[in-house]
Amino acid sequence: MTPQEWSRIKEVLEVVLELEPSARERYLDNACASREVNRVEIETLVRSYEESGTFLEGPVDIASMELLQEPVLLPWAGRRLA
Amino acid sequence: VAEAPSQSVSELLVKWRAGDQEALQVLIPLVYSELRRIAQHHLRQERPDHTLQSTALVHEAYMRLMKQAPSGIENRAHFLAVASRLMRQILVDHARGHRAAKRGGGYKLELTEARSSQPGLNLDLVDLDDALNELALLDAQQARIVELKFFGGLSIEDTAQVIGVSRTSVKREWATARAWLRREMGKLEKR
Repeated sequence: MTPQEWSRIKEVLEVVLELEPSARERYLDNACASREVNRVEIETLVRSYEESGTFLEGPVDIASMELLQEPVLLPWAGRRLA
Repeated sequence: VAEAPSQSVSELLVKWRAGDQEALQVLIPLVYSELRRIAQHHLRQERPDHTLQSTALVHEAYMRLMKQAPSGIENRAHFLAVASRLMRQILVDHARGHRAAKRGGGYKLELTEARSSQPGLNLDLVDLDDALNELALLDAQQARIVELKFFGGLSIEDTAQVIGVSRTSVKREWATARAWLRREMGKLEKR
């Protein structure tokens, strides 16, 4: 994919994601034909979006990392900080 | 984020660059408090070791910030962008280090995504970093939006201010970025 292709895909995808599912087919019929956008690309991206749930919506759970206590990376970890 | 501190950080940075050492003394706690806000954003559950982890993350971010020519920071928006980039680097570095350390044991570290409505849906930060680098090649501004919002914990409003676009643009870019990254990370998992 080139930046130009992604830019064209985004233009269509932005609209599709804001449409009701019932209106999407019709919009895609027109938009993909007139803008030379690969419809399969859009459809897989819409599916990814639908499946994404809370993907990237929450913070990184640094509590589960247990990496910040590694003494090599963080010499002060475990010491009392004044 | 409140409006008043945003002005003062920008003003202090200007004064500091002009050689005002007192400005730095006032600036350091403000920088710390911004970094602490980002670190605490990434702390999900209450656990006794949290204060240490949060403090360690803030310290590491501050040390890296000081190393990376801090006097080149122009204003608060720029600072937030740099801080978000640093948080990404630190978190991904740790995840990558942990993945390398555990590779021998055939165990792949996956970080639990916070506030997930789907239990078991894990987020691999190394894969995310790779996918985000790919996205930056297609659209650098869109990748910056993800960095600010996800790693920097910035709101839509603050992200819009830092990038200099409307909130509506940020929302749209965010939605299409999530779709793209989600698809890309699915490909990475199958490798």
